[in-house]
Amino acid sequence: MKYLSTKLFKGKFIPLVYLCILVVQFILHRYIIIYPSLVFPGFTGAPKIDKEAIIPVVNLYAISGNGQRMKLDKKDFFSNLYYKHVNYFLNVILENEKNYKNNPKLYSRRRDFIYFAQRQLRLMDPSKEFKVLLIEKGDMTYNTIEDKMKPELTNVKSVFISLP
Amino acid sequence: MTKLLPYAQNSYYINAHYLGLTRVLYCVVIISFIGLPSYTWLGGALDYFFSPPTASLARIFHGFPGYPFFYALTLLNVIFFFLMFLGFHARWTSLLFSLTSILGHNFWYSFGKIDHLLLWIIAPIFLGFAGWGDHFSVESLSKRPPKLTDHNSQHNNSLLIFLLAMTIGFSMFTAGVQKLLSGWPNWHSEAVRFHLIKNYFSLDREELLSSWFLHIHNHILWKVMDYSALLLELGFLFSIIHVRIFRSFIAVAVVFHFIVLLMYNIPFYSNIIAYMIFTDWEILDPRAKIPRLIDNVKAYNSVIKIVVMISLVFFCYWCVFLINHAGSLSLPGFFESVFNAFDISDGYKFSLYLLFLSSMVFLILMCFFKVRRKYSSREVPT
Repeated sequence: MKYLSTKLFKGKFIPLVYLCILVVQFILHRYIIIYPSLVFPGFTGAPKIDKEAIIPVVNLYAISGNGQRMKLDKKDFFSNLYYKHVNYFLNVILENEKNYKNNPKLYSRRRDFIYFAQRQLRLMDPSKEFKVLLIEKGDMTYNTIEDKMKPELTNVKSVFISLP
Repeated sequence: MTKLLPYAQNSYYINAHYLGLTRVLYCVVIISFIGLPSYTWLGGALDYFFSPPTASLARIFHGFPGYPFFYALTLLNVIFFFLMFLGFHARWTSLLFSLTSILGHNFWYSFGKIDHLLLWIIAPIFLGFAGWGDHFSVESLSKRPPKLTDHNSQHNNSLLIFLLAMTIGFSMFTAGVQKLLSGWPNWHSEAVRFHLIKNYFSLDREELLSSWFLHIHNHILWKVMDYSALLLELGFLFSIIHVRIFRSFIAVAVVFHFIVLLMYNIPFYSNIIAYMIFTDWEILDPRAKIPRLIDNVKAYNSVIKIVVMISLVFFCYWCVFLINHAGSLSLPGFFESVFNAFDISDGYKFSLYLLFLSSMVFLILMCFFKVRRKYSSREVPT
């Protein structure tokens, strides 16, 4: 005990113990997401892009009663939320849409979301009545030689949310 | 290792007077450029979006707790910030400021993504216990701080400063390791360019020089950027071996973050604020005039009076703002408020740009002073 109070906690070993804690957090971070986290974003991924670069995108559309599709500004749609994370909101919605039928709590929360979506769409374009919200996730291909983006998406996954 | 760490640690000692001034500067930078986060917007967030990280305090809750909770949290955060600025029980108010900020950000990042703007939030925990409230604080008025010559009464703060340096070094190192393992060193890949394209098209980060960088087709240049980023991030942890080496890495990192801002439009302000703590005061104040302020009661009291005045003005301003702008993301700093007053849209963004510009100017000035000092000491024989 005397050893602990004199050596371990009086400075000599504290940096070493602290470093070990940081290393443990880094190892854990490979398996679970932790907040607060001292593991910084790594910008992982370095694919060969000598001709093309494939990048993920997620888009949000509203479809009116006559089938007309309008691309929505994600920041406007989530206007009262943290604008920098709009893509992640859409990812969470995509995940929830897979599970809400088996989860009563999620099912009731989804009703609030639909009410929220209707209100936001009315604010964005009061002249139209939208019937469906479409979230489209896919890959875009960027030609690195000509510096051009191909307009069509590949590996598209679409989720339709009807707005009663 | 047990011999190496104490050697490294000892080089991090900061004169207690400069440490007190660091507290004032830290708070002034936040008040001027960043403002404080407001958590009130989370009160209106839908529980359908609630997706906190696996290990997060927000997990204890099953949704967003509602407006009263976030109003109370924001107000407490503001109160602890100003008590810390005033130096009132700075050890505890610094700790409580950090804890309330961390708690708020636990909910902030409960939408499926966490940001890593953490260093500026946790720095007060280290610095509070290192004694940054001992000088230039309201408490020091009633309890006169030890004089410059009274070395025995100034406790050694090097351990806590060293732990903060280790935190910064380790954080950067983790980013480097992830890059290393994910193929950045591969000669045929252009990682910096790939992430530029991803940020530009996927996250709509199209401002500043990103378009210009996008049209660069020089493989060697991109590889130089890849390797430089790797070397800087991996080397950061080893640079803590001595404060001088660590400061050199900080200088390069300021330029690195500035380029990241220009290229990716990511204002990583958290690190910039944390780097400020490692300012070389011997260069900035070669004749040690600041510690001598302690002996000049009138001048010392004036500094504290200015701190009290700024605190009162901004405390009132942010309280009024909090009442009038429910759901706002932040309590605006001085420059953001000025930009908003002149109808410049996105004042927060420009305020952050100003912070990065200021840090670059500060870095250039420090380099200039250092070079001048080096040459002047050569010319004058001792």
